[in-house]
Amino acid sequence: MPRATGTVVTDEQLMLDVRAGSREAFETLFERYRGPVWRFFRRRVEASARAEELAHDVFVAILQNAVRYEPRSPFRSYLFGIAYNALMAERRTAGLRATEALPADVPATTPDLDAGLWVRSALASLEPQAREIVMLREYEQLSYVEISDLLHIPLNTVRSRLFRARMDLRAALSRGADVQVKVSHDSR
Amino acid sequence: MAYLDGELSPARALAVHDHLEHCVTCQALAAELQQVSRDLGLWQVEDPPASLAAPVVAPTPNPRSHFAWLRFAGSWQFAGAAVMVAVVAVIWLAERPDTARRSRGALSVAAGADVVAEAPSVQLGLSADAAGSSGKAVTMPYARAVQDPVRAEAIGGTKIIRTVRIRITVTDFDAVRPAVDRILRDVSGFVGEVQTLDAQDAARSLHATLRVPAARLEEVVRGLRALGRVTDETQSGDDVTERVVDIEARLANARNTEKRLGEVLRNRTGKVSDVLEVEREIDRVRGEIERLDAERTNLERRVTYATVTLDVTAARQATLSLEPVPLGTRARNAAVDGVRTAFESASGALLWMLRAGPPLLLWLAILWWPVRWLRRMSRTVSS
Repeated sequence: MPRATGTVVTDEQLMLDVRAGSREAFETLFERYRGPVWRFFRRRVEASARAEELAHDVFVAILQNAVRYEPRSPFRSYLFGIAYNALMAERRTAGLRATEALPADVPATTPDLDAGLWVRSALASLEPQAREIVMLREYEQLSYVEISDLLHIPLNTVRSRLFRARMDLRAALSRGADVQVKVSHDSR
Repeated sequence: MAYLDGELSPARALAVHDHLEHCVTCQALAAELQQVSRDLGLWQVEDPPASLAAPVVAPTPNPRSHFAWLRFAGSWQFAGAAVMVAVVAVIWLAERPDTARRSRGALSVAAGADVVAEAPSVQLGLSADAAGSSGKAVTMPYARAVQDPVRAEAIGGTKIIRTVRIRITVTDFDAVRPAVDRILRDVSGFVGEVQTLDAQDAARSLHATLRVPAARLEEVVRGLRALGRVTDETQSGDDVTERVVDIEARLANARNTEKRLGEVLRNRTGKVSDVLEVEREIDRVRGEIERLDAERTNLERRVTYATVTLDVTAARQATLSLEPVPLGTRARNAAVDGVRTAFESASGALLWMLRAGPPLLLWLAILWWPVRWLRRMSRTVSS
């Protein structure tokens, strides 16, 4: 459906266009969410190639199931719901083989000079569900309600676990920062 | 903190905002939590690879079209409903008095039947064409699953592994093997295994496993029945349609995975560890494909060729041996038996003495003094 230049079409409207058979709308959606979906899997799946395949599978699923899409909730929730289900299926079928984003052999109290590894170590110290809640909030920017729907847990549970997880992260990150400063001093 | 995430209603957010302006403790906590969010943002991942392109696949048909019912037909709900209807139908049929008669009619064309509702075991009297077997009860249990015609059609029809076990007693045992060979030659079958027993004191017997084309199974069974008197016959059909469908689906998935992994390997320029990981995965998938392929081939072969287990026993028992044993041999055997008996009796007596001696001596020692005392007392009284 042609639209005036300069207008921002919502994700939901684009998805309705995809449902109607618009390839152009799908490619617009793909460009918008190619990065977020890739990063979703890249942070949770060890192998880069597998993350790419899963991201590809998510867009294939969206395209194939477009005819059943109903704009009852934001497209982001719909998209990350598919991505999360794909991730769970991957972990089930592979038996956690090469798909654990935060491997247990990364000690939480041993920060690396690489900031990413330091944060990963802190996240690895959380229990899995709390870690998922924090990551969905911080990296995928999902709302509390969307996280609640995605993980099938009560809204208040999301609030409380998110708060507790952030407090734990605060402690883990500050411990890591202390050690990191000490390491950098020792290296001088 | 919901306030920092923008998850509070405007009124509550305003209240929290006012509180934060005056509470130093909460200000410090909010600052720390904001720092946590900033720290988490330090974990950045690389940009998506160029190979992650928009997929080109055809969307599935609109479920609201005129063919929407086809989706229901392929669903689990439909399969469950179909099974329930079939179970009720079978129970209803089984309770009817004329079930056995109608089942017999169905079984007589079993070799050509594609989809048959599950029927209970029935006792049948053999028909007159089974030579020499009139009046013998034959158990013919047929256990067949109700088929989903759509799925069965996808693999070229229902797949049933047929097996027959037949026991026959014959008067002319020597004619059995040539007759079996002739039957197999006529239907292009073959012998899987054959074993003959011709012991002196037992009836001659033959045990054979025959593999015959499933389409000509009835013809083979008729020919075997004609060999003699059927004492036992069991026919069974194992429906493997679902297994074949599953194997086909898993094979298709594995081949798709192998293809995609091959493309990843060709297009990717990543770390050596990533490449090795992909190659290991390809090896695993290829192994899976070979295993599934072998399983499918084996199933197809068993479906194409029915198995007939044949047990043939000669009606006449072994003849008496009339050859006389020489007198010298009999004398030698008797002498050997006598020496063996003498040795065994002597050794038996020795063993008895060893076993019974100690307790006898013990009792003699215990009873010696009382007996002696009694004898003295009796002498004293008599004197």
